[in-house]
Amino acid sequence: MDIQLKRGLLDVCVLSSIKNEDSYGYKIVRDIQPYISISESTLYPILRRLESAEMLTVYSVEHNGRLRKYYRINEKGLERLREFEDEWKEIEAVRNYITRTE
Amino acid sequence: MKKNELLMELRRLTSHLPQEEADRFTQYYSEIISDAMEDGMSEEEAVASVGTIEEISAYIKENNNIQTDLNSKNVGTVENTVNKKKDLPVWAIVLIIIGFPIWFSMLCTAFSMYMTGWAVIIALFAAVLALFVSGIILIPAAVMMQDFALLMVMLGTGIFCIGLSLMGFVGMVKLSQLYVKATIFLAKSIAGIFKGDSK
Repeated sequence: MDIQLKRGLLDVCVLSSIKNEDSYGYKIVRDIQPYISISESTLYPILRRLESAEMLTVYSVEHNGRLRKYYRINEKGLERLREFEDEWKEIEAVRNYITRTE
Repeated sequence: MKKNELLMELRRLTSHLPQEEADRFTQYYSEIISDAMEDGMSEEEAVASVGTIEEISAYIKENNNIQTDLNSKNVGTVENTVNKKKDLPVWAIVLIIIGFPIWFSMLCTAFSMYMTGWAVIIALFAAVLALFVSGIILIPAAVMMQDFALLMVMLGTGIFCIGLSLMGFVGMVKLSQLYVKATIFLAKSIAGIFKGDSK
């Protein structure tokens, strides 16, 4: 996928992966990969950014003698997802424009 | 590569960042590798799966400030303009204090040079005014002359002076506007240096 297009989508993808249930880094990457290719290194700055923007919160859970970081979506994050839904209509309009034949 | 070898490399790569950030970064990869191993990968496989050192260090440079834009309101944008606040090291501050006599006097000199510019502009305005007044005086003085030739010369000169001073006035206004613009430009550039804007 074009890298510019991808960047816009990755944030919402990550938010969506934690929409229904909290998740952790490794799992988020696995969950998203079928839809859009993402590496662990790509995910890190996204998570940091979403946290700074207060769209998710981070908390640690003990797991097999180590701490695992979990990410939980926020109200702001849910709002962003809703916005994306609205944006989608615009995206469709743009796509129709691009693929028009006359 | 073994897990702790990678983590040591990561710590080295992030040593220029604040401790908290570097820790957070390293712990992220540590966690991923552990989860990958739990998922069934061997240690070597798990370490390989997170990418090569080159890739990761490229990422560190790209997201130069991993503690990304805390001021960014628009998370969805492509470019995240990073706000790099430059903290002054102690030696720099000491140097500034010690060098005060030098840079301060240079600053005063520069300022007086700048003010001289205004003085010149004011002087030129005065000259224009003087020319205008001369022109104004010449006309009634000319009319009083008996000698027709002299009258004409004085009249012509008077009108010429008035005309020239009017043009001079317009020119001077333009010049002062230019000087103001230059001042503003200079002020902005100086402020820009101190803010350390990366645009």
